Amino acid sequence: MNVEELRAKVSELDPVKGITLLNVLELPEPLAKVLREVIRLRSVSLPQFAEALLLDETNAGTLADMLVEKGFLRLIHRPSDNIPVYRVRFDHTGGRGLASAIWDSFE
Amino acid sequence: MAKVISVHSFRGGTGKSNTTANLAALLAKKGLRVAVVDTDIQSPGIYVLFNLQESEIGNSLNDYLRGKCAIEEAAYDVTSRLGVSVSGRVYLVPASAKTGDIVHILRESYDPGVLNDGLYDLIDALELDVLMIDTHPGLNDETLLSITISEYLIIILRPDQQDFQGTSVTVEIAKKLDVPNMLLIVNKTPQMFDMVALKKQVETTYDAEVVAIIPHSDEMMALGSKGVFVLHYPDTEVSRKLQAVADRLAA
Repeated sequence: MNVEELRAKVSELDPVKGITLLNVLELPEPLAKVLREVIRLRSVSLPQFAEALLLDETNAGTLADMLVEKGFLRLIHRPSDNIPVYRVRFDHTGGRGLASAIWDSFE
Repeated sequence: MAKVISVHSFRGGTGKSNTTANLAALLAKKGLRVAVVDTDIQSPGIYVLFNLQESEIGNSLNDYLRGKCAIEEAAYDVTSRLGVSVSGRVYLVPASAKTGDIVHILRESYDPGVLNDGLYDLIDALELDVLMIDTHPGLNDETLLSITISEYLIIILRPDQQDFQGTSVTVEIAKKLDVPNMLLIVNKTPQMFDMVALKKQVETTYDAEVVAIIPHSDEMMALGSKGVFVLHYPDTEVSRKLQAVADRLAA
């Protein structure tokens, strides 16, 4: 998949407010592979992101920013060295929707 | 770099927690620093195998996920509770068995990224060689995350048609998640079965390696989770099979 095809695939993604692993399972490769890598490494710098996608940093940065905009990644400054890094933006696990009175009886 | 090993089964009652505890003990016997994290927050129980009483559990994984403590503050050194001297260490991060805590985690949402960070923070804080994740049966967010970050995924199944069906789902997803090493253990196998034929059948069905066919054991049933089997019954077929798995994981 070349960079234009990757951009097109990312453009087609529905915006989310964070992902679950199910979202990752549905992504086309190599995007799924890259997100798995980001999860395993916890955070990746732009050079690492570019290397994982076999792209130059300019194109990789564009794709990463698109994924940030879509809600799949977030860009933070790593506390240890203040380097900007990408992390997966996880959706919170859903709480179960029982009537509160039922829950309260257990707590 | 620590090895991350998830132990999973699609259905309950396969001996997943028992296998996890036994492998952790065998790896510690090799001198390794091992931590077991009970991510089965809906139905926790592995703490029993390490002779930890519910009343002794202060901080738990639930507390970490709720931001009440650092993950290493929920880790218990259970090495001395194994009943046998080992040169390594075994730590356990239990999930809370208190009804209120289980209900709370089911009721409220939490960020799986916090669990992911916690697992890696634990490796650093305890200077681990091996992190073992005891997962919830079936597939949920924690299980998929555990599988994703694992170098080894051990899938436990019984020679049972329902287990075979469910395992195919797990195997398919693990392949999609690109787990580097997927190993199957067929557990609680009736002694009358042809073990060689069963191994071949399972490997053919899933196109994955069967690392052990473990026979049903009356001694294990009799032990009833009151300890780690391989340390109580080292000279049994079950223990020899588990030792071979531990050797493989430590290699």
